[in-house]
This record gives sequence, C-alpha cells and structure tokens, in this order.
Amino acid sequence: MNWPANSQAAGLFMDIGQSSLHAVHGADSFAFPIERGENGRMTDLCRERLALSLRGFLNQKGRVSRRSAFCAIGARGVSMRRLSLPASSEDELRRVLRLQIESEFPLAPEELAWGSRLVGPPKASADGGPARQEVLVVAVKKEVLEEFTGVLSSCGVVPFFTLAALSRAELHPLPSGSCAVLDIGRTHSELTSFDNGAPASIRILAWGGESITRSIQEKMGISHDEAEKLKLTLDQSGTAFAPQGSLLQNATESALAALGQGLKPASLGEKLYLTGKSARNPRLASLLAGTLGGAVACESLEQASAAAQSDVIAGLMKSSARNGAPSPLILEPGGGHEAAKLVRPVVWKWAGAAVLLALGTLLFPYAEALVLKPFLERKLAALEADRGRLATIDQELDFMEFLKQNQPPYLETIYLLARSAPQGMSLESLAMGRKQQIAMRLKMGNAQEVSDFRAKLIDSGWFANVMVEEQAPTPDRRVSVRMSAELKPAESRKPIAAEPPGKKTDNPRLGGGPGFNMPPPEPTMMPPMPMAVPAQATPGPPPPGPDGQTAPAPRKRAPKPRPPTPNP
Amino acid sequence: MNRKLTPKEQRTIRIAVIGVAIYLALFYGLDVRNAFTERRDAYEQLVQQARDLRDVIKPYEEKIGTATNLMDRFHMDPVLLKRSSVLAEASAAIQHAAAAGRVGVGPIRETPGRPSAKEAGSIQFEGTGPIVAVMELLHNLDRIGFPVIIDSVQFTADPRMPNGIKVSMTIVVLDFDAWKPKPKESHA
Repeated sequence: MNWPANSQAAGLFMDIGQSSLHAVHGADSFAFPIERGENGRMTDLCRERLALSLRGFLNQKGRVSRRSAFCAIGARGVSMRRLSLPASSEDELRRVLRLQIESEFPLAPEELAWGSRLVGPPKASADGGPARQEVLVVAVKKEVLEEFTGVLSSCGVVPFFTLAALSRAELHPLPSGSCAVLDIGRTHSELTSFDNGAPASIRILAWGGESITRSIQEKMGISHDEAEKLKLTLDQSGTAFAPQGSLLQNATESALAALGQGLKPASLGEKLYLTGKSARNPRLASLLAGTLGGAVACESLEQASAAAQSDVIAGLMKSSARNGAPSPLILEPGGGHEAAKLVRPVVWKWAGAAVLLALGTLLFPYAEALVLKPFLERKLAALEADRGRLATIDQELDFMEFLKQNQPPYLETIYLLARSAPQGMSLESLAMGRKQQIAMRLKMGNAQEVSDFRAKLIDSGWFANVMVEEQAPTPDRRVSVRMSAELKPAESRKPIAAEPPGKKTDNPRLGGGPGFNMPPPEPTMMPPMPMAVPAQATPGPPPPGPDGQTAPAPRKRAPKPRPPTPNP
Repeated sequence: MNRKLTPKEQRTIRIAVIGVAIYLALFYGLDVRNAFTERRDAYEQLVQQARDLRDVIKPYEEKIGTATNLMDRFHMDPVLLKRSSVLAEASAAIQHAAAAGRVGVGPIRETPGRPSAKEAGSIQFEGTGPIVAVMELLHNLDRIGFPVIIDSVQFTADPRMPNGIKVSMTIVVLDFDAWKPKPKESHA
C-alpha cells in the first residue's frame, strides 16, 4: 500500500514513542508526554488530554477538514519476519501470506495490524521448483494501534501507521549487504538488522542513554543531574573527556560493555549504524566498535543532529514526498482488508447518495399525494361530518328572517299619524293589522282639516288607499270621521327622518282638546294627536342597528350561544 | 462453510445486485409508477372535493353573521326553543313585560296555532295603562326572547283611567320546528 495521494498536502507527521508523542504540521511542532498504565496502554486521562491538546494544535490555523496523518510507532510489541512464498499474483500472494501469518505468528491475522512488502524480485528455486518471493511482514497487536486511532479520529485525523525503524531507514539509505541500525533511546534501544538494504529483523534492547548516565553517576559519584549534564557535554562534537576524561571514558565503556553483551556481532552484519540522541557522541561509535572486539565497524548517522525534528519524522517526510514510489510499509488492521473497507464505503456512499437522489427525483411528483393524502382524507371526513350543521344554520336564518320581515311597523305608523294630525284632532280608536290595514275613528275641527290630514298621510309615502269612509258633523260643531288606509310594501315606503327630541312640529298642540275623551296628553307624549302617542316613547323610528334594523333594547334575556361556524 | 469472500467474489456479487436491480426496475418499474399515479389521481380528486366543499361552506360565513345579528336583536336562539313549551313561556314573558311596564293585564286567551302558518299558537292579550307604558310594551315585545309577531293591535280610549288607553293585541307565537327541512320520503 502506498501513502495517500494527498500525503504531501496533509503534512501531518507523528512519531509515537513509548513515553512521548511528537507531531509536526507544516512549520509547527507539538510534543506530548504519554503516561501509560501497567498494561502498557495509555491512561484514560492521558488519552483525553492528548485528544484535547492535539485538537488545539491542529486547529491553530482555523478549523480544517478531515486529514491524514503519518505515524511511526516504536518497535515495542512489533514482530518482523521475512517470509519466502511461492511467487504468484497479488491476490493469491496476499491469500497465501495470510495463511502463512496464521501459522507463523502467535495471534490470528484478525487480531493483528500488519503490513507486508515484497523484498526484491522473485527468485528461482535452487531445486528447480517454482520461483519464490521474499516478503517482509511486520505485525503488531491491533489494540496497540487502536488506542491511537481512537484519539486521532476524535481529532478528525485519519492515521496511517508505519514502523519508526523503517522510517529511519528511509532517511539514511543503507549500503547493500548486511548491516544493522541501533537507535539509542533513553531507556531502550531498537536494533534493526538489514539484509541487502531491506529490513530482516528487529529487537528491543533494555539499554539506552540512561544507562550511560547511570554509569557516569556511579563511576564519578555525582548526582544524576550532574551525570546527565556531563553526558550531554560529551555529545557535543570536539569536546574532550578532560578533566575527568579517564573516568568518563571508563564509565561510557562500562555502559557499552553491558550493551555489547546483548549484541551478537554475527547478527550485525558488516556494519552497525548508530542513531538517536546518544549517538551524537562522536566517540561512541569507536568505543562501541572496540567493545564488540573490532568485528563490526560502527558509524553514527547523527550528522543531521542539529535538525530540530527527529529522524523518524524526517524519514516520514522524505517517504511521503515520493509520490507514487513504494512507501514504507503500512500497518493496517487485518493487513489492509479493513482499511479497504474503510475506503470503499466512501465510494459506495456517493453511489448510494446518487441512487437516493435519482429516486427522490422520480418520486417528487408523487410526494405531495403520498404525504398529504391521509391528512386531507381525515380533514374532509371531519368536514363532511359537520356538513349537517349547515342545514341547521339555514333553518335558523330562514326563521329569523321570517320573524324580522313579519314584524309590522306599528310604532312607525303611530308616529306618522301623530305627525300628520292637525291641532285639536281627537283619535277615538285605532286598529292595525299584520296585513298592513289601518282603521281609525277621529274627531276634527272641520272638513278642511280632514282633507289636510289625508293629504299629509299620502305625502308621508307610507300610506296607500287612504279613504274617508264616513264623515259626519257632530253636535259640538266638529266633524266625526271614520278613515281606513293601507300601508305600502316595505320597499316602497319613504325613509322616516328622525326628528330631534323637543323639536316643535308644524302642528302645535291642539287647544287642549282631549283625545280618546281624556285629559290632554302628558308633555312627554307625542305632540298633537289627542290619542297621545308618547312623543318620548316613540319619537321616531328607532335608530338603525348593526344589521340595518332597529337597535336592540337592553337585554332582558341572556344571549343564546351562537351557531357553530364551520371552518373548512 | 463460513469463509470470507474474496474481493473478486464481492465484486461479482455487487455487479449481480446491480443487474438484478436494473431488471426489477425495467419489469416492475412501470407497475410501481402506475400505482403511484393512481394514488396521485385519488389525491387530486380529494383536493377537488375539498375545493367544492369550500365553495359550499363559504356563503355560510355571511349567513352566520346575519343570523347572529338577528339573534342578538331578538335576544333568542331558536335552537333552544321547545315546541311543547314555547307558547306558555312566551305568554308568561309577555305578561311579565306588561307588568314590568305598568300595563294592567286584562283577559288573556290562548289558542292553538295553525300548522300551515307555522304557528305554535296565538295569544289574545288585553290590557290597560298609560299611553307611554303601552307604547313601551309594544316596543319591547320583540325583545322578550320568544318568536312573537303582533298580528293585530287595537287602541281605544279607557274612560276609567285618565290619560290611559286600552290595548287589545293578537300575538302569534311561531313554531321553529316547522322550519326544519322535511325528511325525504322513501319509496321502498
């Protein structure tokens, strides 16, 4: 597997060690101490703090989208093998390799994160059999990577893991033949052996720069901090051992002797290369060569020690810059099958989205019908159920309109009679009916008043067929009259102009002549007509109400509930 | 055997799934489309029904306003009137209005109404009182909360009471139930 195509653009590199994590993003760098529990895993607190710090580091330049990170892990817990397999196609080789891993490694392939790389071209078998292909396999327990994957994923980072030793080898191309690289850490060192430039095996040695510091501390009887300072002065090129030269050399040789016991010169090949901060000591290589008995040449690769970033990150950067070229071996859960699953869903996700979009486009014309039909059906059913109330409303309206139209205008008629009556007229009886007929018996001063009265009734625009049925003189020199009339239809009547209260009419009150043979009407009564229609009680037509009808009087009965209003 | 599928097999299965999907789309797509079209047509019919119903209901907004105004004017809700008691209640209300207005109540005669005229009954009312009180009674009769119409009225002088008149009214009480639509006769 190669680095992702956008590796250069991503520019996020991480060196994940046993006790610290270093990250480089562009020109910025980030270091975080890792606290591990007894089981070797990061503590929960450390994991949370790391995620928080890393998120802050990555968002320094504003929020960025998901990115890739190239991470190198140490050799602790890593197993490296060179397997010889029958040469075949890539798929077949992968299948065979999986079977081989199953038999060679103590854990099942599913429990491992592993990667492989072909080592050289296939070689013909010595016994004439099928060609063999050498494959380098690096494996580590899946959980080792998963704890970092979880932290990095929470920061929006997709990690790609490789081995730090392989990354260092990218930075320092090694000669052909057998050799080894010893990366000296603080408490541990990684020894990687190479065969023809390709890694062959890797070991962890419980020896590091701290071993030299402790040796100096013991030999010179000084504190740990002073010993560390003395060791650091040795790392500077050109610094002599003086004034405690012999003691320092003895201490360093003593520490290297312990290292030499753990190294087998035969497995180191022709040369041993030293890396790591402690390798900056220019005399360390020669002292180690002496410790190994001169069988193996030693050389420090720390010429670029002035660089701020570690060899591992520099190696990662170098390999990521080579687009398309074979890149360092990538460790993936299940050897890349699961990674492939992670990549493929992206493609399928888009395909699924396209299919959904197409289906949505096809279904859009039907969406309204599919979604709204049940609601519309329910609402229509409710409205249909209420439809019966419309008949009740019709019935009520017809009834009320009939009632209104059949209310005879008795008061208006009396008002007009009073307005038209001459002074001194006496009304003996008045009869009115719903069929608009009127009959009355009057007494007037003379015949002329009878004519005037009749003329005024006709002029009022309310009366038709005003007839004097009988007119006869009375012993008191007046005229007894029996009249009848008919009311015009409502639409033919003239509107009655209301007179303001207290206005004097053209017909001042008759000279005290009693109507109905009774005393003169009260001052508040309708003015001239002796029948004494009360003027205040019926001064004119009642003022129009809200419906254009007469205004209602104060209620004597509580209003009834209104009919329900259908709400379509 | 429960083995994992190789990438080639997975690719084959994916292609097969796509092929089956295309087959289903070709052979059943038309049926599905027809089903959706039928559903949409049914929905459009419902929408048309809703529009028709709205057209039917819309005039009722005005009718309800008019009816409500009339009910306010006459101080009554006809739905609450009971045919069996409306005549008695109306008679009591008329007498109460007369008494409250200082009109002396004379003989009262109630007669059953004519169904053809949609009447619940009629009341022959005679009373005497001051002219003002009689006019007020006449004025207030359409506000007593019952559907009454003064069929005829006659005023005559009352020789016993100065400034007083006798009034004789024939009052018709309407029957609201007579306005109910008659159920359609079945021709079973």
